[in-house]
Amino acid sequence: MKRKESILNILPTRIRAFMLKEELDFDQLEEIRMRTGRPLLFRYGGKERTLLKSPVYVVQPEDIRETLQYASGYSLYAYEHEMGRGYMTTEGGHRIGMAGQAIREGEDVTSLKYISSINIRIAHQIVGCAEPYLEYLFDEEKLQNTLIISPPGCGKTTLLRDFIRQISDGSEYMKGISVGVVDERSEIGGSYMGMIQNDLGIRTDLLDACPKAEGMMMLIRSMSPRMIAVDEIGSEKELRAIRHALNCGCNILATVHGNSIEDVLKKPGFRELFDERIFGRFVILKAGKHPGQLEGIYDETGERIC
Amino acid sequence: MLKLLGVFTTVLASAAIGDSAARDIEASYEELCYLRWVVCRIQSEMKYSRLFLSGIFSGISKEVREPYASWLSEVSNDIEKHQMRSFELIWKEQIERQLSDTNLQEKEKDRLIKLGTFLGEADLQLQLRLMDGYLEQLQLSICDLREEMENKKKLCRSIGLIGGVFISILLL
Repeated sequence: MKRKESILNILPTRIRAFMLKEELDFDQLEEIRMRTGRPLLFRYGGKERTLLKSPVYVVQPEDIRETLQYASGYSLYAYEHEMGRGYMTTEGGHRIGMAGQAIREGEDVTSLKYISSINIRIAHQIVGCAEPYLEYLFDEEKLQNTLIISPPGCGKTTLLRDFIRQISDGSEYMKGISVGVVDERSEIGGSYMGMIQNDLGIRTDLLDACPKAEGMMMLIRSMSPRMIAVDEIGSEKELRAIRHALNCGCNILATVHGNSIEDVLKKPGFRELFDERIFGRFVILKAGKHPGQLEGIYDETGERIC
Repeated sequence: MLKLLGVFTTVLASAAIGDSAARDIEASYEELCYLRWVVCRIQSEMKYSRLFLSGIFSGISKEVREPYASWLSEVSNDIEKHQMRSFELIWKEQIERQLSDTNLQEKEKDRLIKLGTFLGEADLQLQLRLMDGYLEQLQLSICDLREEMENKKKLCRSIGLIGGVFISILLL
């Protein structure tokens, strides 16, 4: 489904009409924010703006309700788990973040009610964004275990996605291999009704909405991947799962929040991984004018190679 | 001889009308039982597979007979069309369109339409409980109909036969 159609289909009637009137290039649309009782805002071409061709529109509670109905295919119950995490993924791979009142069972948040704000993050796969850096992931033609380090919002998931695609499809550096992806938050593949919305390559198997540690084990047992890709690792359990995956002969491609290798080494468990030279490559992104800005690529000793 | 033939034909026709009415009652009963099964399937799919409604309806439409197959298939299609309408409206419209020629009584159709007001909501447990409530009410209707059915069938057939005899006597 085209991006424009997939976005318009989830918008409530009134807002849909306003957005059409703006004659936007939907490839430049990044976010749409609806907050009850506040003006409709959206992020377009890197800048925040409101409606220009219509009077300022104040979002109504019905708009939020309608959006969630359309986005969920009238099946909010099917998103119970995701709502407990504060988001859902729609057709086209767009992510709808929600804020409202938490419904709790003990310490756990099981769902949300009285949703007053939603943030529609438009999916943008940038095919080819990893191409300039792919060669650096190899050492003597051997694919290295790679850790992408990045602050939030700097494009690490976008880069991860394209690395997965290139490794799965094959490139001039190596033939395509089977890749297993554990997509806990449905951000990498943007799965909707079991269908991967982004291009992750022809040899990729995706485990959607599954906790990373368990997902890695499941993939190894069931799909025999040559490489496993995960986004935003951090817990001890996930790091143990990574070690297990390595012991099973899989390569690892992962991302982690951070500004530098030193920053990441402060997190529990990462110092040991670094000292053992588990990761052969560190790709570091930096905050800048636009996402995807590379700070540098480093080898297993922390020496800069790009 | 001709008179005898006429009487016979009249009685037969009248008995057939009575028998037809009896079969209609039987068909209503059978229709309700089938509807109950269809709704149970929907409830079961929601509970265990947690599929989206369009997927549930599309899947079940391949298993059920007409006009339920068309009804569920069209609801699924309408959901997929993204027509900016509430689910309640889609559900109601397709019930009125696809199930108009069934043996379901109006009150059963109304009850089925009301079911659409809470399908698809976030609270799955509440939906399942409300569906349980709907199925219980449906079961009560089925039981009531079953109790009345035998008596009504006999009554219809008897009236048909006696009516035929009476008309014949009048004509003679």
